[in-house]
Amino acid sequence: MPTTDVKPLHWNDELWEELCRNTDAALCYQCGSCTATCPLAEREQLNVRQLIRLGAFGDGRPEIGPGTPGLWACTTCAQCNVGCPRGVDVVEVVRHLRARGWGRNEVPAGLRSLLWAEFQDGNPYRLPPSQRAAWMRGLSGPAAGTAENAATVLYVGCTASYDPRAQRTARALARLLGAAGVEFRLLGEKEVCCGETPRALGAEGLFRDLSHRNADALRSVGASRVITVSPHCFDALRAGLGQEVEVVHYSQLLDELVSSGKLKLEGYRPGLLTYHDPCYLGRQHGIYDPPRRLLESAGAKLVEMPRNRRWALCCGGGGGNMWREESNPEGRLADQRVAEARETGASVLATACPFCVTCFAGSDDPTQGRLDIVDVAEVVARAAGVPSG
Amino acid sequence: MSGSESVWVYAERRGNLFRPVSLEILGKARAVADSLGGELVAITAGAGDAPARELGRYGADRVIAIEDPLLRRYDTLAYTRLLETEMRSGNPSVLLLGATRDGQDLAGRLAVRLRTGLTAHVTALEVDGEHRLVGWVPGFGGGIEAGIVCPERRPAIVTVRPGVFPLPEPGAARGDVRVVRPALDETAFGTHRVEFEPKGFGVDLTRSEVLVVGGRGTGGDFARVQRLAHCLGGEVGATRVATDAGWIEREHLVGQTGVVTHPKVVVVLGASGAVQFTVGIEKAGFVIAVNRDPDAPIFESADLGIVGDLGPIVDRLVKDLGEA
Repeated sequence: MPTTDVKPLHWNDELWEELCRNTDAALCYQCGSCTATCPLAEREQLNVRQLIRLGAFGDGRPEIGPGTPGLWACTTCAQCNVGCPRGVDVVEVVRHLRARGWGRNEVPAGLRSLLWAEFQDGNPYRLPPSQRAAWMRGLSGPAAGTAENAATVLYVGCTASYDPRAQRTARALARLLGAAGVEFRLLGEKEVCCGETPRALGAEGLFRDLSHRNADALRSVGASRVITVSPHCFDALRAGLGQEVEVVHYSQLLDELVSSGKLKLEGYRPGLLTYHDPCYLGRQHGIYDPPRRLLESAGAKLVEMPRNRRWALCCGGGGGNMWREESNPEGRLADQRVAEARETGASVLATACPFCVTCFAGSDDPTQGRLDIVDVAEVVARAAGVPSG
Repeated sequence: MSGSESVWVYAERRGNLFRPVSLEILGKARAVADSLGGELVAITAGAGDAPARELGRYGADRVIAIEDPLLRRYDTLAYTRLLETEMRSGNPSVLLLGATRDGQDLAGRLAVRLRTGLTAHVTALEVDGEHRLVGWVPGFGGGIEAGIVCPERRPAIVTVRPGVFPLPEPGAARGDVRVVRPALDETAFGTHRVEFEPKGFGVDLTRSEVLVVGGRGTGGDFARVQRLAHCLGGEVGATRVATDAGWIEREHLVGQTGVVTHPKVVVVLGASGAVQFTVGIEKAGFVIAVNRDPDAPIFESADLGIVGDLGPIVDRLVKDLGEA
């Protein structure tokens, strides 16, 4: 680098103290493992090590804000956390640096309206709460979640409530629960966003507000267990609801139901299938085996992509990136992941997160031959002989 | 007439049309004025006074219309001076403006000129027990909602976020219109417009009645999308995959981070139909979707679905429409 580009560094005590109080950034010894493993390092000028360094020093002018390369591109996939020899929760540091952006009114265009939608409508899509039940089309009986006094709540989440593709996953899951005799109920219009996206974007206050609203709704129906469709909701509800209720991802519950014989799988052979670990299920919470067991129980022949489990490549949708526009000549992370899935020779790409499904569907090029992009719940539904969508 | 309790609303114009937010505010301001026991005054500025009477139908007791051919477009200095003059003589208790680009610009200037307080971007308004106007402003940084009052200085200036109050139904025409003709010349303006060059192609997808939207399935062939749009007399829209890939300019982006459109007919070519996109066509009259995947979620948002390769289908349509 030519010496003329070197800017003086100004120690920013306030920022560093804030980070030390709220994160474990102080443990960082700047080895750079995070940057080396970050899937966005080269594509987005995201230099995680440098971000933490900037947290300690500030970078003079401008300070951390929307102009900081890569800060808002981070998908919070937590690949950096895996490789960190000091055990730093780097994602937490990123969230706090982003929070500073909100505090200083310096955020990329578009994200503000996203938070307004969350605040006003309780979902990121700016759709009315009255449409939350639209996903239930065609459901009846035990699958419709009408069990009064049930202590289990199916928390559908915004994407599975409103997105036409993800609605199929929610319907498949509801039918499976009905078939397995799980009594559950729904929060209906009282359900609001889990707040995971606002939280990842650094709007911790809005996340807490949404958590309170969901906690009140769950308390009002006397819920003691919540099942989520999305790993993002799973993560956020666990962080936001405290010890009051048990939060489980549906893959854990279905795995239990199949193992105990309450849910019988037969009659579906999806053939060669590859499974993509969603970041918020795998890396963030260590849930790798339940979805794989389910897929194998459903008769799938599982083939792994070279990057799997804690090294799985992110779909690109986390950390607010479902809404962030990116012009990148190298394409999207999901393009790369779909290509990796195709290289395994599998005809089915299964995952367990509505964001991943959306990203992969948006990246798939059907002219290369049919790749069935599905949610694990849909594969299980087909194997259980219930409608999968 | 008690000037000290009157509520003024700045009604922002674009040509002869008022911005919806100004009419939304008028509806709410009617209730505020009634609570404060004062009159409701709408003040507007532009070229021609023809639309001013319309404001009486939305609840104003009185309308002040500042009229000059040179006020055709918004100018910070000219508008500030004219409004300041009227406010000093009318002495209102409250001034409400839409939190639009121009409204925010004007509100800040006026607050400084009049040495008073400005509550920006409110989402709710109420009059408290002490007869004070309270503007509610959410702050995301701290996860709070703050009620803000301007206890001493007058007028209390407030900008209101568009879309938070319902658009009132217009009633019968009422209220006097006082036309102010300031006889301006070029020196009243802070800027001199040399030329107007719209950014990009200057498309306004929100107004087009026919829209042809291309997604990933187009493979980047927007010339084909354009041909169909041309045949149908419509505009070209795009999904985020297409704009992110650089196949077409960002101003064509339809959906949550792009524009929400209201066409009579929209043809969606090769888009999967994620909710981030479909919210942008939710208000369309008739949705036609073309996709080679019969399971594509876009068909759930469509009134008419065509399963097949979009290339031959579009070419055939263009041929038939072109021959008609």
